Amino acid sequence: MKPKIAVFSFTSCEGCQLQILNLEEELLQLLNHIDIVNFREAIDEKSQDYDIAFLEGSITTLSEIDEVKEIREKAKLIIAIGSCACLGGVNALKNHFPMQHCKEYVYEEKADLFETIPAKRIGDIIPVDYEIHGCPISKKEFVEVTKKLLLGIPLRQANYSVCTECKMSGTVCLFHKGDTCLGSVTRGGCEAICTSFGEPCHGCRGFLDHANLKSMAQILKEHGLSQQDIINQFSYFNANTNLEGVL
Amino acid sequence: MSESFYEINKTNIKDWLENLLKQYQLFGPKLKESVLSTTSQISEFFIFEEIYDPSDLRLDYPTSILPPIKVFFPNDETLLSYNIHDLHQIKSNIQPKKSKVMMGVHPCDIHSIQLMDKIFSKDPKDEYYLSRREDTYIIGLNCFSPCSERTLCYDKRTYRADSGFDILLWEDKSTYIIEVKSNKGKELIENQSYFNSYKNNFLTFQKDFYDHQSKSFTKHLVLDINNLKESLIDVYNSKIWQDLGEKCLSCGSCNIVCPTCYCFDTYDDINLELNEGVRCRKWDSCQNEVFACVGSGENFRERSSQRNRHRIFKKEVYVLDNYGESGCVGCGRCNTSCIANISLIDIYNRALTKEIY
Repeated sequence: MKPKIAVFSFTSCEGCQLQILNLEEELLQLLNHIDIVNFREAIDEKSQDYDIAFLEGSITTLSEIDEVKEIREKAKLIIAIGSCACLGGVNALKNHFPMQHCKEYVYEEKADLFETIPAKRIGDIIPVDYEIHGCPISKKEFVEVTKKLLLGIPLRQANYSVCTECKMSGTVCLFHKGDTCLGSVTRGGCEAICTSFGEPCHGCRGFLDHANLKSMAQILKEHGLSQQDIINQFSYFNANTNLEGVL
Repeated sequence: MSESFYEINKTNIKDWLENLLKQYQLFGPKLKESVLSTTSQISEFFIFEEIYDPSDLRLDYPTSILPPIKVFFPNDETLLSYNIHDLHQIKSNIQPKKSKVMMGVHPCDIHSIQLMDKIFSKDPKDEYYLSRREDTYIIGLNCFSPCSERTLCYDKRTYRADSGFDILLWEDKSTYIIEVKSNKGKELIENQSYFNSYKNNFLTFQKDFYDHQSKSFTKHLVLDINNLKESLIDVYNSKIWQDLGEKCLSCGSCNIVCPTCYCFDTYDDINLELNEGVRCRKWDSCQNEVFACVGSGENFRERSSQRNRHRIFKKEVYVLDNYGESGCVGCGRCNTSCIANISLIDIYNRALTKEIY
């Protein structure tokens, strides 16, 4: 019997589930091995019987906490997908402000009609079996992970920097062009898609395990960034990172 | 064959390349990007890649982001393919031989190719490297002056090459003097009207060239490089490595741009039918945290300081012990690529002088 797959969305732009749909022909081939039973952006069916759940988005309301716990109960495997689900992502920028301020900024006089809590990663609420990083996730990596799950091959999180892949592609270092970039402390696996097109890395796949942020902050300072600039750069996708002792 | 000397006008290089392209796959330096700095200066960055259009070749390149060795040892390659249900049927993916010309290889990179030949030829031989390396013509290009202040080629005597090439180009104003070193080299210039015999005395030209080199290249190490290995062993437990560990971002750039780093990781890729797979290898870096992590989860070089020390010892102790020469050709690419400004020059000088500040 084919494993049953569900895709759920929490607070996010829904771009990661769109990446799954963007697979098009490859998705059709994958359907020989899996059944998709719950995927709001793609199908009407909403089965509550599933084996593997892919979760995008961060958790920003109390009701989302209940929903995500319920999914954990039902699914054999939980795979968090994208920066919001794996890191808190850009949503976590609001965690630097009082929640009341955030509500008023967005909903103005209707603020009190909505609830909001500081943005959390899925892994902060429930145990997660694997995380596919990126904003958005790479289609290729989604297929890789799915194939490995089907074959029972252990998954291995990339713990090398974006620089590794950036250098392999023969790209001119953004620092040599007078720019700055977070590629050297950011988890790779993205094939340096941004930097090889000249766009600095903002850290969407999260920092490396044991990233040397202190030295990175010093380098950014030497390249003319103020303390606030550095906090802003580090916080873009990683606002939940504790920067104590780093700056 | 004895050495022979010819001359070609720079304007005829294009004709020569066009002729080579008829018969060979051609690799050489070309512009990757030119950048306008805030002070309105243009900086140019080069890559060493396959040349399809002769006008792309830029022999005036200072250095390339990635070294020429990438042609024989690509950053990601498929080693073999297999069927999941019948593992007796494994097909090796060794590429068919293709005659290729490597044009404009600088002396440091010629030294690196010679070292990598030794490393990949050691048993068990690496047929993937060797099949690409076979049937290659190397056209070296001498350096008149250093490409940057970050190189160690003068200290390491790798700014010149006496062997490891079929032809060596010497720039002489509007021409290149062609030193033909091998019969293979001779093949590359045969029957072409734009090569003239070099009529002047080559030794006189060479002496002038060398004189200029000794003025333009500078020594960066404060003490005798022959003491480097022993000095490093002496400072194995010193504070140098902790200092480096604090600065280093573990980004791996130094390894990836290195012309003598040969470590790789292997991985499998299975097709969408889930019945056939390929095994591939991809460059790896000993500065990555998980590099020395084994199946049990044990990591033999968990700390950045240990990994930094390992990189230096690999270059100056282990490769030297195993292959009789240093594992660093002094090209300076690692120093240039390090945004944390970690430099072999500083490390070596600290070790040599035992200045463990």
